[in-house]
Order: sequence, then C-alpha cells, then structure tokens
Amino acid sequence: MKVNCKIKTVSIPWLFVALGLSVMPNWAISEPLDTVLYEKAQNPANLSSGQVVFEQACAACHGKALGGGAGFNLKDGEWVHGEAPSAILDNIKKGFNSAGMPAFGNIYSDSQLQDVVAYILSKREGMSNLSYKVYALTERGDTQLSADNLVKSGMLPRNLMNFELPETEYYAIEFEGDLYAPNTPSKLFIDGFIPTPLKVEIDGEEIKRTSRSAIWPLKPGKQRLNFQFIVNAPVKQDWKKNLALFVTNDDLEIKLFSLSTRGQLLMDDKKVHVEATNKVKVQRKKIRGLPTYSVSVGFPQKINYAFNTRSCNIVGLWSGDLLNVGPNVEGRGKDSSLILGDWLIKDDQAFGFLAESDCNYQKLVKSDGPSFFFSATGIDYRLTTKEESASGITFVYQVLNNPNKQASKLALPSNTQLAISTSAGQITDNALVVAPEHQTFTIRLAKK
Amino acid sequence: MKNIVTVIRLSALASAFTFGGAGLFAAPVEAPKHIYRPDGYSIVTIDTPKDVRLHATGLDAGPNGQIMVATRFGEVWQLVGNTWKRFAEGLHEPTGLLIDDDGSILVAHKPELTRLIDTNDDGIADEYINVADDWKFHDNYHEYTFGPVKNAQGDYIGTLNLSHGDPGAFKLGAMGSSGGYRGFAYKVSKDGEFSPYAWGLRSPAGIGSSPTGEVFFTDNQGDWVPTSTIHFLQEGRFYGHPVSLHEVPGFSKAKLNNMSASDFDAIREKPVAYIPHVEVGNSPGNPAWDISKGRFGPFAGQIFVGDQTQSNIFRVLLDRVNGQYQGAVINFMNGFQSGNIRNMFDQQGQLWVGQTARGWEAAGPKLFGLQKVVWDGTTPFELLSINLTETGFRLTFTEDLDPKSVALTNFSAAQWGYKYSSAYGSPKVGLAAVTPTQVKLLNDKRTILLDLPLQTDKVLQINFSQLRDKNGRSTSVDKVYYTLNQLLKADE
Repeated sequence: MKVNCKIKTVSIPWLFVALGLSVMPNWAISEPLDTVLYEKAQNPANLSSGQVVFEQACAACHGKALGGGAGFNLKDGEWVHGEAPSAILDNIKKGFNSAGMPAFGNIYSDSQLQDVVAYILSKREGMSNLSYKVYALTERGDTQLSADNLVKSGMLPRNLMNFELPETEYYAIEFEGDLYAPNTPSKLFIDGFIPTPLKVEIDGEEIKRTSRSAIWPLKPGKQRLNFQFIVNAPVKQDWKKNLALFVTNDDLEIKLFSLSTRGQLLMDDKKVHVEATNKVKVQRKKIRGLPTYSVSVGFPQKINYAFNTRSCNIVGLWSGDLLNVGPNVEGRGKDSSLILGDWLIKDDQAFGFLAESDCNYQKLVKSDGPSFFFSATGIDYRLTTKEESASGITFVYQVLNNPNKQASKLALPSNTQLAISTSAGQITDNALVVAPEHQTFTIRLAKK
Repeated sequence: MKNIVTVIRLSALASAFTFGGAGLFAAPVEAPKHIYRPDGYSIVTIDTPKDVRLHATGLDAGPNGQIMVATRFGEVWQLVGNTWKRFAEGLHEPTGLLIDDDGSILVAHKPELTRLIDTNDDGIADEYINVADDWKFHDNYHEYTFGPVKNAQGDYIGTLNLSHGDPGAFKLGAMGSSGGYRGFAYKVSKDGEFSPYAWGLRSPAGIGSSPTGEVFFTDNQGDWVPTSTIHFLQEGRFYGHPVSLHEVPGFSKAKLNNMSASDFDAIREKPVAYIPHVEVGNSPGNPAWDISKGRFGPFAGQIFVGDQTQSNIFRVLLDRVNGQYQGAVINFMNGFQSGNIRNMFDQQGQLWVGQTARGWEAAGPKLFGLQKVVWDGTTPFELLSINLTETGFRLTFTEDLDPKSVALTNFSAAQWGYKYSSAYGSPKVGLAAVTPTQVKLLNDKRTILLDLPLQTDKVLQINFSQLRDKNGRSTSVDKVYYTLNQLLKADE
C-alpha cells in the first residue's frame, strides 16, 4: 500500500495558537476578541446570521448538525487547531488548504465569519478547559488531599476525563472544567455502576444525586464542573474505576454526549476488526480465550487458528472472521481482543507437543503459508496449513531435522464437533504417533 | 517551618512557592507556560498514512534516508521521501525499533524481540525471526519491552517494564512483577544469547546508545522513582525499584519484605540526572544523541529526550565528575502535537519525534503522530553546557554575552532533594534558595564561572533569565537543573 504524504511546515507562532489551552499563555485566553465572540454567541441575531452562512459554506463538510463528516466534529471538546474563539475565527479565515478547507476570509466579511464562530460556539457541547489532578492515597479509607500527595496534574486537551491516569492502589482523581450542557434540561449520568466516594460541584456548589442512581441535574448551557472520585478501598474490576460519564436528556433515555474517555468508547462503540478479507492475516495480541504468546492466523476462507510460541501447540481454532482488536488497542490496551467467529477448539483442547519445555520457537515465515518453524522434542519442524475452508483445515507438519530418528508424538483434542484424521501414523486414545521415516504428516480437522 | 520561611525570603523565587505538610516543603510545580524554542528551530509535521493509527513508539533512520516507524497497533511503516509503505504487521504493541547494520529491522514487542527480513525485496517483511523471548510476558498491559540498542560490544540491550494491576504480581509499591525478568535490562549477545543485564528498573520507557556505545536509559516517576531519571546503564547494577530483586541471587520476596527504603537506598545507583517532575518531564522517552556534527546547530554530541506527557523535548548536559557521569537537564522545545515518546536524529541533522497519547494524556492534543525539528542555520542564544567546578559551575552559552548582564544579581538558584520510597513520586524535599556569591565572564565572552554553595544529593536549579547576549536576546529557556551527586575532588 502506498500513501502519498504531504509535509507541512508549522511555524511556531501558528502552532502556538493551534495547540490549544495546554500551551496557550494567559494573554491568549483573555483575548478581547474572545469576549466579543462569546457575547455574540448569546445574541439571536448573530446566531441566525451565522447559521445561514454555516449552512451555505460549512455544513457540507462539518455536517448541518455540526457533528462532522469530511471535516471535524465542531460540537465536541476536541479542537485540534485551538479552541479559543479567536483561534477558530482565524482558522476559518485562513483555511487549511492541505485539508481542502478554503480561506473563507477571502469569501465572507469579518462580521459574517464572526457570526459563524458565534453559531459554532452556541452549539458547543461537552467539556472545555478541562484539567486533572491525581492524588496518591497511602491507606485504606484515606481522604486527605494536599500538595504533598498530588502526584500528577495537567490539562486534558481532548477535553475528556481520563480515569485511567492514577497508578497507585488508592487515589483521588479530580477533574475541573467548563461544561457546555444543552439549553434544555439535562442530567449528568454514570453508566452501569455507582462509585463512591465521589463529589460533584457545579459552579462551586456541591450537587447531590437526585436518586440512588448516579444522576445529577445540570444547569442549561455553560457551567463550571468539578468532579472528584476517590478510590480508597479495594476495587477488583478495573472497569469500575474507569467511569463512563455522559450527559443525557432529562429522562435519561438519550445519551447526548460523553464526558470521559471510556464513555466516548462506548458512544463510538469502537470496533477495530482485523479480517483476512483478501489475504492471510497474522496477529499477535492479547486475546480472550487464548493463552499468552499465541499467534493468530486468519484465512479468507473464514477459518482461523492460533499457534503458541511457548508450547508449539495449536491452542485455538475458530470459524468466521479473525479478530476485533479494539479492546486491546484503545486506551492503555488493558482488555483482550475478541475472536469474531465461533470456537472449534480452545483452552484444554490445545493439541500438539504438550511438553512445553521442549518447545523452541524459531520464526514465522509469512510469504509461504504462513509457516511456523520450531523444534519440539528434539525434532525440527515446519508447520503450515492447506485445504482451508469454513468447515475445516489441514495442518501440515514437515520434519526438517530429526537427528535421533524419533517418532513424532502429538496429543489431539477430544472434540465431538470435529472429525480428526491424519495422513500418517496411528491415532490411539487422542494421541498421534508418527514413525520417523515420514518426512511430512498432516492432521485434518473438519466439522462433522 | 520558620527557618524555611527565612530562607525563602532571600530569593525572588519565594512568591512562587507554597507550603506543604509538616516535614516536607512542597511547592506545586508547573510546566513553563510559554512556548520555548531556540531561535532558528521549527517543528515540521509529517502527514501520516490515512486511517492508520500511527502511534510511533519505535523509530530509526536508515542510511538511505528512509524512516522506519513501529506503531503501538503492531505495524512497521517505512517512509521514503513522501511515500509511506507498510513493512510489517501483526506485532504485539512494539515500543522499540532498530535498523541493524545488515538492513534488517529489529522490533521489540511485548512477547519477543523480532528480526524482520524482506527476503524477496518487495518492501514487505517476509520473515519474523525470534531473536529473544526469554523473559516472561503475562498479558499485562504494562509489560512493555523497550529497545533494542547496540552497545560498544555489539550486544543488543533492552529493558522490560514492570506490570501494573496484575493481581498475582509481587509488589512493594504500585508496580509489580510476576517474574521472568520484569524490571530488568537484558542483553542479547551477537550470537543470540539472552542474559539479564541489570535490575531495579520501573518503567524504563527510553533507552539509547551513545556514539561510543555507552547505554543510558530513562525511568518514569512513580513508586521508588521520586522524579523521572536518566541513568547510565551498567551490567549487574541495581537502579532503585526493588521489586525485581526477588529474581536476583541473594534476595527473596521474604527478605525484600523485611528491607527498608534506606536498605535499598544504600545499594541503588544514583541517576546521572533527575528530571524535575512537570517542570521538565513526567514520562521521558529515549535519549538520542545529536550525531549531526553541527547540522542541527550548536548542540552537537548532546543528548535530547522527548517527554510523553509534557509534549516537549529537553536536553541532558552530561558532566563527568571524579570519573562518574552526572549532569543537568534543561528544556529545549515544547508545543509538539502529541506525546513525545521517541526521538532520533537522521543523517541530515533533523530530529524526528514519534508520538502517542493513547492511555496516557499528553499536553499536545493529537492522539498520535510524527513530527521533526529542523534548524535553519540561525545561531540561537541558549545555555550550551554546564560543568561543575570546585566552587560552583562553568556555564557556556551559544553566543557571546552582554557583559553588563553578567552581574551577580542577575542569577538566582534553589536546591532540593527527593524522598526515595514506595510512595508514588516525591515532592521537593528541603527546598531552599541558594545565593550565588560570585560571577565572572571569561575571555571567550560566552563562558561564565558562577560560584555558589554546593551540597551533594541535591538538584540545583540555576535561573539566568536576566542574562542577555551581545544582541540583547534572552534565552528561550532560563533554568537549568543540575543533579549534584558528587563534588569535584581537589585533584581532579
């Protein structure tokens, strides 16, 4: 695959504006133009004018509802080129030629474009100016937060609360920023679990939950949110510490937008599929149902297997597509990838050379098969496959070197779904013994 | 506490400090608020392939100018000119890449050190050879494999992260080990023989080899690492995080559970330099040496390190005192687009920066990317080097100084220590102002001798914000942080 690459030089003054709050000096935040634009965002006449121009010039790429398309989402908290209103105006005027966005300063008047910015600001939702502080707590039940145990702090330029930042067993994490809620009644909601202790402050005032659930009423529009979460007792499941925060409509039926990284993943329902669409795919990932050190191989014929480099065994076989690696490549990647089909062999049905200490994995050659090269029980093998189909696969063991002229001995799975056959040797009580004179032997697994 | 107040009043720094708990004097530390960059340097953003998660955690440049990038997604990409091509895929979260002398590519990923070979010259790796997998990986997300780099003997050296959140792990703080050389540096000889090389590492996310084959690594602040560090890696040494000692002869888990922080303190190696938390770095990546012989400006031979959290790059100014490395860190540039985890000089004297912000937040807003720093030939005005003298420091700048600005009142200093313990990081301990006593400009017009009281086991911050060059310029970075492990012996 070849992809053209354009290189653009970013002058520092521009970058300074484009990088947003985390590196923006105070004077930039208090830019008088920002105040003007915020005021216009409250004025119906400016908003109406801005909407007209937006729908003419911007909606095709950024979506009529500002939710994004070819262009970025303009409602959420992620402003790659700077979220200050003056920076947004400047970027609209200058455009991004390399990304196909023209310099609208050459097309519309300054007044018109200010109204567009006001309109965009009025549609803003989610967090802005979001900062975090992590405190390490030393003992169970500890709630003391001070400069001494403040271990991490900073801005969150993507404006999503990240509850994975603490690394101590007990801790407090605090987020503070401007929340843009809808102008209609809405709620702050934690999905799935009510963590305690936690504290929610809006505009400096602590807000109590409205019920036994984790639900807090929000003010309409912009408000200052402080969210504090303390873990000072053992929590076994990581996900219970990685909160999924949302703003919902008043009756909780619709999640409007997320406020945390895990909430965003749930909103996006992120799936990252690795499928052997046209050619064989090989993946090494953490996979639910497979032991560590497994290498997964998927075929376009919708059959997949996993070879383990520690045991030299076949430790998994499944029909369908290869993997959803999404859980393993989002956030810190704590979770396991998932197979996309149905298991035929897993767990204790692994087959092959069951004496792990004798396995010496050497290499994977992808250009022919693929093939795994290894030695087991003193014999060098090349393992590849043939006759791949959605209903079965044949493993081909080629003996490359057998200095002591030993028989090959493999344990085979006991599986009522599968018919197991071999090209050489004897299968007795789920064990295959192949005499040393056979340079190659196969094991065929097929659905009954 | 009264004494501390008295000391602080001596310094203009006082207004910036607040008081912490009893016994410790904690100042809330902040990263510089301004964009800092030396004159003549700029950031170039590289367009990455469309729809590719190019979290660039492995980075090297080939002799023909090609850039090879390993990604956390598990791919290896090659950039030639403006064209990207995928070279390999399916790896398990690589965090290191080296183009070997024969052109093959070594990739450190969680379960294995793998050599990638393109046997049919189609630009795609055909063979994935297992070079080493002698450590244990337990599918814990934090068990990264970093490296490799080559030392002077041609051995491959890498490091193995401790685990986090592994319920079965042995722990003496936040990070743990379920065995299999977690928290070790490892060596793979030219013949492919694996051996544990050194231990006591926590989250050693950056490893680099100097032009003479000396290996240094960085470690990230956390338990037993009071602030991030850069260390000189030597065989058989213990670098401070005690969990890995349970696999070292002479120790056991029971013995370690009965040892105190002072016991570990007595046997640990001191860092070449502490990296003050937040002010300079939170999560340092690899050290890279400017091998460009002046094509990157006046900093030839110096060490550059990126920081994942701060999205900045800082320099390490090595000093050699009584035969031992120690030295200083100083910020170089900030304002990068994402978290700087890898950096590397190419043969043209460009500093490439591989970036990721997934899972760990960064000051820069992008989740991943690739940028490079280029120099346009303008002479910057910055601190070039710092060396310990018997009575203070020799500070050399990149440009002739305005003699009028070399006045004692234009320099201030502060010092502090760190508490080494199982706690997650340490505030500054014993923070106090230090008053310079004498300053002298040497005949070369750009070197200053600054005298001030010296105390070992302190980080000494020197502030020279009022200094000007002959053209009236001030430096973009005005603080340097020197880790004073040793004083100069009189006969040195």
